[in-house]
Amino acid sequence: MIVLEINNVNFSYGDEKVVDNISLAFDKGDFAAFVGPNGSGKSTLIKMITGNLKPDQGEIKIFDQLVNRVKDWTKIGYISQQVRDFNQSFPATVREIIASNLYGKMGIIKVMTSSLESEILQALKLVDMESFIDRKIGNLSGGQQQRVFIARMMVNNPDLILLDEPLVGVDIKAQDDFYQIIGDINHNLGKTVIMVSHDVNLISKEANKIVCFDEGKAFPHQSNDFDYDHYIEGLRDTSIRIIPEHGH
Amino acid sequence: MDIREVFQLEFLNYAFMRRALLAGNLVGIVAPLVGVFLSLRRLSLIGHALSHVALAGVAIGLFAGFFPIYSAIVVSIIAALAIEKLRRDYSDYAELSLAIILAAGLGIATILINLSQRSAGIQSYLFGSISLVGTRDIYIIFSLTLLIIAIIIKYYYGFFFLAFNEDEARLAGVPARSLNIVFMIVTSLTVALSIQIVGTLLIASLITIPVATGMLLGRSFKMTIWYSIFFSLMSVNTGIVLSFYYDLASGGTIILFSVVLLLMVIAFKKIFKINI
Repeated sequence: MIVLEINNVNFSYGDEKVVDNISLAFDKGDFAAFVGPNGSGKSTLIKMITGNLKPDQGEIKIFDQLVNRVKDWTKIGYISQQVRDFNQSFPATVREIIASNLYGKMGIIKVMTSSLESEILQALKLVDMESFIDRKIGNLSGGQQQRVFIARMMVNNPDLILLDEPLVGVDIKAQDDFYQIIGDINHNLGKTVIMVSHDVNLISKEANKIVCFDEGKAFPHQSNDFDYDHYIEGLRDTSIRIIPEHGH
Repeated sequence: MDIREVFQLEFLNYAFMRRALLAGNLVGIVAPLVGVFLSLRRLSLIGHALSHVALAGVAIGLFAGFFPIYSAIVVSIIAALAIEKLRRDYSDYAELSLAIILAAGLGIATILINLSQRSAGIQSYLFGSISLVGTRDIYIIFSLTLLIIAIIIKYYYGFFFLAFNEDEARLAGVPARSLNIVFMIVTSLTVALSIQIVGTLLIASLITIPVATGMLLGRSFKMTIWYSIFFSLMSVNTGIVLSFYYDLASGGTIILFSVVLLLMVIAFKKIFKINI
């Protein structure tokens, strides 16, 4: 079953083409990694999938529906690059942060019910954070905040999960925890995951599909035929950026 | 001022004081309630811009012979919708759009006040006056307060998500665009109904200062709202009573007392090393 279909999508900022005729498809249960240097078009493509940008040409379908026709966004979970850029003194507890994501599930009078409360607890159990439910979000560590945002995303039980470089500025231990949790969500719950990352080494261990982006074009690979060393060498040749090489 | 008179609530013998306190307490509830969302979205300046536009509304009312609060409500709602449109279309220059709306409001107000034969009372609308609150005002302020509270309860989690992260809110099923418009209308109603108590020049302060104090103590969003309302009501009641006994402008007295409370809470947290 195809969850996400991208057909001949193009996008330019002014005269600069950042997404160049990309076509991709992802099945239920896929864990796809979008990798590539800065400015290669991967985050722009994610923004088009979430409907924040409109393609100049082509179409994107989620669950066989054009993005601009999607009504139920609760089936799509999203964590952005800026997820931890919030005001750290924002006076809100973990419970309140997660409750806000249940807006679409609340009735006409938007109040919390006991069944929604239990969904919050379930989501926190998934990331092993239930004892932090009444803690202020700004008082948690970066890794703990990251897990709260996974719980916030999972409280709606989404079928498609989009992660746009959520690990920027997060320490190695928290990165490992993040992959562990997302890996479990993908394997055990069968959710489709698409994650943009700079760290090819770490993500290539989890993903079954790897899409390399370069100058707006996308080159999909199955993870078992993905040549990490060749990819790194290619980047070195172009002197675009240095990729961390833990474990290689 | 005889302190025994204050404790015996002598001031309640005056009908205008009862009206002022009732109106003041209603305003004291809604101003910080809306203010929490505004401040956390870093949109406090919108309150400031809308209050100047509301002054233009008052001036139109005085000039044309309408009830000033009605014209202030209509004009500030129109301005709020214009601000929201400009904020969306020119997101990189949001402050510029506020400055333009503020200046236009003040410009219209100045011209109409000069032209108006009935402009003698404009000072009361600028600085707030407890003697200004009539019975008809009470009905309007009471109805609008109920309406604002009902809207905030209904859309509480939506407004909360917009305050926390507007970009991610839409993906949680929050209708960001329409809720932003509803929120702007609620803000303009709050500004319009606060005019008589604190005056157009000081409304933005009542919307923000008790919230700043509440944020120093609130561990959660709900507690921050309750603390903000508590400090706002303390300021409003103390300010109105002091302005009665010392013949001061109610708006200025309320705001100065709210600043005193803010400084006291800052000092309290420093002395007792309280970390929220």
